[in-house]
Amino acid sequence: MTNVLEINDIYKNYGKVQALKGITLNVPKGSVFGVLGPNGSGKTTLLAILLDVLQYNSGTYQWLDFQNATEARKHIGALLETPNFYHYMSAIDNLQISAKIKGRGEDDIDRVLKIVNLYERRNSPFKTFSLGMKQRLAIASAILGKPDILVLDEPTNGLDPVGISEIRELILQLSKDGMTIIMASHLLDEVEKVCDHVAILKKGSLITTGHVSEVLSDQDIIEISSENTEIISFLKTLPYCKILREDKIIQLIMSENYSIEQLNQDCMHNHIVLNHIVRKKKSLESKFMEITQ
Amino acid sequence: MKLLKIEWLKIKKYKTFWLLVGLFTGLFFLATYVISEGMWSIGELLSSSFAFPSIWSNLGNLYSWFILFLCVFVILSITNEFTFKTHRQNIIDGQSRLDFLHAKLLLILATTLVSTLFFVVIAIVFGYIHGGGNVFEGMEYVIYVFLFTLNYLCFSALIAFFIKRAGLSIIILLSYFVLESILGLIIKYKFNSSLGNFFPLQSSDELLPWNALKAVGKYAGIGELVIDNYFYIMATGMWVVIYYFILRRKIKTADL
Repeated sequence: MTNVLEINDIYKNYGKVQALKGITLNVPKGSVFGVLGPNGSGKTTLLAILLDVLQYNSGTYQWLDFQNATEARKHIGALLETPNFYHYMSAIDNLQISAKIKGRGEDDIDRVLKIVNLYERRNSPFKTFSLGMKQRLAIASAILGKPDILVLDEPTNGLDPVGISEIRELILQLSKDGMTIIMASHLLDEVEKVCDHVAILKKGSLITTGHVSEVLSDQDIIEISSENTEIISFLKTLPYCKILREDKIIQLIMSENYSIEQLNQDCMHNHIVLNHIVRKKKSLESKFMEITQ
Repeated sequence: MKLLKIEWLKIKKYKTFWLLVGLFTGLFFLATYVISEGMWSIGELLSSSFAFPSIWSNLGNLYSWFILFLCVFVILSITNEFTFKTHRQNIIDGQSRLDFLHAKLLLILATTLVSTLFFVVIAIVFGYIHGGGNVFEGMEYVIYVFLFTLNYLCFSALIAFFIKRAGLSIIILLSYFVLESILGLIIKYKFNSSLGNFFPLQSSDELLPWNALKAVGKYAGIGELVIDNYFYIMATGMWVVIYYFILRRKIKTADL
């Protein structure tokens, strides 16, 4: 599979704080690529560097289908952090400026406004828009002119559940049309539904990257519970167990070569009776929790 | 031209822009009318004649009173981008950082050309109303007005790009103007040197000198050092180039 973006060993410092530490990853062409990580992990910083909003200290990145980054950006539609438009101008006026800069899309404005359900408000000043409407306008600007690549930072921020569902469907449709999509999001459930590749960042470092099925390929989650209050401390003594969540229902993963039956036996030998024991298929959320803890 | 079209799209719907343009043109016209008709006596500030060639220097000096409106416009057109973070969006949409800067400088150049043209029209109209004469005599003031405007607007842009806040930028611009004038006077008084005449704004101020300030200098016993305007033209041009390279470096290396 060919790549559309190759990032090699990028470092970014804010003074003494290392926001990105040697990030290296490739984005396959035509993929929906999720960038995940807890707050402060460097997701937005990485996207901002790719869009030339931030400088970086060392490393390289290359948009492979284009001569240079400036040329590439004309073929990229992006939404970075909060929507940024001229408050005194209407939705349609703001999109005209975007289209003029991109050098395309002036005849595409009505279409994108209809897609994001803002056509009726096209002549309203941006300052009168709610947060959700501002976000929709930002998405409209990103997809204006049918870019080859879409870079979205928290695209569902501020949207209601209906809006979130619509954006998910839009992303899936755009992906089917061949667009490469790079998406940073905290909504792991949404990422799992739309992304086929993910990269997980933590404190500026890349923890893992790959196809979603590869990232999720190892152990399943085991859910257990017991009336015995000593269960947590006991589990911590087991070398083959790693606790993901301590709650009424405890989530853990086990090393290979150990089974649920082994766990149950070990508990019984220590007078701990399990009243709930279930194997669950690993979700992106649980993998994310496992990796980032 | 594409960059200028983009800037035009940004400002044509901006009410404050039209207000400032209206104030600049309206007040300049009215002041010219009132003073040339003798309704407002301003003593030795300007020559009493509004025919050619005196009108060029008179109006040049009068023009300098109203440059602040254009400076505020330039400051707002730049600081708005930082306030709304639209400078980021422009870059994200595919504009290079240098193109973003050049678009603002082209806007400044267009503003300078239009305002200078306005000055020429007003001078010609009032010059003919008040006695005519050789219209081409004294016309070097057109160049002085052009350079004066370009210098002030570029300097305003420099402040705006660094400060990024409209109110603070305007305060700093006004404060700097006063500070520079005071420093220039101190250097002239203490060291009998004309070095202060070549400070960033002063270099173009010397092209449109106030007769009153020259009179004050005489009363204070400060010697008048005669320097050819050619040197002030060179200094102004040099400062504009310096501003450009400072801004170029700033925009290329900064996190937006």
